[in-house]
Amino acid sequence: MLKRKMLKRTKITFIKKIAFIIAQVMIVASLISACSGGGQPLVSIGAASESNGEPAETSENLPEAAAEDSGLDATPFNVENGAVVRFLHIYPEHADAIAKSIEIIERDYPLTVEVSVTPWNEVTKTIQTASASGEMYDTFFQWNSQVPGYDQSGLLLDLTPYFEADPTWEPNFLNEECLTQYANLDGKIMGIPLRGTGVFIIYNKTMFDENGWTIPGTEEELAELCEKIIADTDEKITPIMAPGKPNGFQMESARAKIFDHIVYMAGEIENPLRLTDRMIDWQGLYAKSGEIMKDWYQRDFFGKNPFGLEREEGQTVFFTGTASMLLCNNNELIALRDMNEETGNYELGSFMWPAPKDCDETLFTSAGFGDGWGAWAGSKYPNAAAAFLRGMSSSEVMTIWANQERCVVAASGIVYADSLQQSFADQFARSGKYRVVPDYNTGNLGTNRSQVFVDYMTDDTMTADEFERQINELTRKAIEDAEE
Amino acid sequence: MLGKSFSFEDKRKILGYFFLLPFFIMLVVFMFYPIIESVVKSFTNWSGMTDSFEFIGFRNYIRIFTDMPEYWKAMSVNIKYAFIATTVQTSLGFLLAVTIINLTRRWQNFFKVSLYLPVIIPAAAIAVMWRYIYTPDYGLINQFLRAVGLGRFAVAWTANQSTALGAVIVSNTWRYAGFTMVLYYVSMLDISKETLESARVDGAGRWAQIRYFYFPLTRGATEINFVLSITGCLRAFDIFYLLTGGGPGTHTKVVSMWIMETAFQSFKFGRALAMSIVLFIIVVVTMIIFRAILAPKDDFQ
Repeated sequence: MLKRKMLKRTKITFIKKIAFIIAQVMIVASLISACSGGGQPLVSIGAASESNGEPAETSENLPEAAAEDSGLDATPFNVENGAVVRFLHIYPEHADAIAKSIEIIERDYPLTVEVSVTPWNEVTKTIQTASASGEMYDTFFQWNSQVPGYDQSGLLLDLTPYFEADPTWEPNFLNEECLTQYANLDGKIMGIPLRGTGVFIIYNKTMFDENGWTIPGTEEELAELCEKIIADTDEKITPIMAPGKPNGFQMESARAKIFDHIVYMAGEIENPLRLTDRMIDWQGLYAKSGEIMKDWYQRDFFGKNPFGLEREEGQTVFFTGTASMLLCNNNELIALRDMNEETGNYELGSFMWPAPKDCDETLFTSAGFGDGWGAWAGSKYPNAAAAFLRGMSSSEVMTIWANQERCVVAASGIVYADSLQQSFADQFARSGKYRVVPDYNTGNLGTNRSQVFVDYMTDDTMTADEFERQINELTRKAIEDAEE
Repeated sequence: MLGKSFSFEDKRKILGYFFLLPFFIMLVVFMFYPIIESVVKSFTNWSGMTDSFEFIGFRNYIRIFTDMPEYWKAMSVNIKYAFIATTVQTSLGFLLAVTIINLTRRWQNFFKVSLYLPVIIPAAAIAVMWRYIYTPDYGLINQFLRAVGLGRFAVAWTANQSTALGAVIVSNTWRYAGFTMVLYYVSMLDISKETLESARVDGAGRWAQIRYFYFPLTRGATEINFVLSITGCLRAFDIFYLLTGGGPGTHTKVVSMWIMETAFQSFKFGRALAMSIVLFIIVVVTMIIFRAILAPKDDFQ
């Protein structure tokens, strides 16, 4: 009896040991596989990726067929056999347009698209992680401000050879400026624009008509109108709703509008240092724009708490009829329309931020085609990735984004059914002349500047000169960082 | 054959080491290796995008100490936050524990669970909830102030320079006071009932009991609370990121947010690692100092 018991215990101990050893082996094996996987090195532009033992086709292997005009909107790029293009975007709200775009691209090119989506504020991290792990997306969303940084890291596929091989591609874009300002580095095209973003003032026309308010023609008239609105409504109506969260958001956009005109009047608008965002001594111009904004802010032209409101909250305030104007970007158009139908049913109008009376041109410099796509230099299927981007900029796809998603797209020959949208598009068409296009990796310079702006606006002890000094200092450091 | 060459004791030892192996591997792979790698790469210009980098000596560290006032401004936010939040949280936790320990068992259980509940709620959920509470136009606090005729005090709590840090501290205290309370509560359970009863018989009132018994006898809990809270506050990220985004401006921008921006927006991963190492050293030094100050003394009788 005792012997049997002991034998049983020995068996159990033995089974336990075996199970434990198996578990250990599994853990060690999984650790080894986890550490060895994902270590695929990145390849530089034009280099071959040999991760699967086959040399990758590069832009240098572009087929002659690509140069031929097939008569179709989508010109074949001799896409690699069995190409699977991994695509990362940030537009869950445009999922339908993405699906339709991919359907068209897969119809026109022999490739398959695998879609991934990430929140807009996570996209840089997503790309960085994917890139560092060697599992980068073949095509991905990028803002134009990120292009120099990505290029510096060897991330971007040079699309220039594809544009040269397919002369029908470039005319697809609205104008040369929108393409070159998006991602042209030293004559190389490192990405393609999708849509434009610019700040406008949308106003409650119903409210304006009822109160006899008129659209201001100059910046001074805008200030007078704000004063009048506050006086007429006993401070119950916020003249301009400019949500300032996060990092100043539209409040900073308003300052930028004021600043652009100041710079123009000072004759510095075409200063090459300004156009490349390398100005590190504004000689009081930046301070002046800050002073005007602070004055307007302290006179409650933007309400009591603009820095506490995010975009959606600002929209809500506007549509509940407690603000007469809303500073917003054109891509909010759909949301605004929907909200208008649900809530107030006001008649809406829009106008650009007006120039001061001494300024002979109303500028639209801070708008531009900043949203777009890039392709990965280390892609196993570079031709397919380029073909995908070619497809994304085709008239058929761009029309979907224009009509269905109400975007102002970077494409030529689009006629917008919506008059408001058409007016935005007209502004974009002539917006590029004075646009600032950094020629270095600005990193988080934009965010840092906006934060200093909010510091200045909310800190009574901070002077305008100190504000400008800090802005100059940030720019100097960003340039140094980029050139390090 | 193999069995004969090892004694039973040897086999036990080998088996012991064998059992330790997976944990040792995990420790090396997931802890030591990343730390060493971080230290090494903090001396490089690694962008975080590719495998390529160059060693640049102490340049990242020199930059932090000589040309990064924003880093030290953020550090001052962390320090201010750490001291205020820790003091408030520890005091509140202590008072809650003293209150609860004197209740009946049923009420003790109820309050223990209720007050500990925020600890297990994810930071994102807490931030969303507090954002609604703090929202300027239709937030709970401002609605209440307006309802009771104090509308003039209604401000944008997270977007106002003078209230933003306080708003974060309040939500953080709400989140962690329960945790502090539990630590004190457990420590108070060790205080002998007889001792307290004797004190009571000798005429010690509630305040005297707190001052001469609860406070000194829970010194160990105070030390743990201080160390955990201060180190947590110096490394704080989630609640700031989600609640204020570092704003208004840079008034609540903490070091971790700068580190994240440096790594993921400026693509200066090497520098971000150097910033992390400096933060790590500061946290460790602070911890050592606090432990030295707060370590329980054996002279209490």
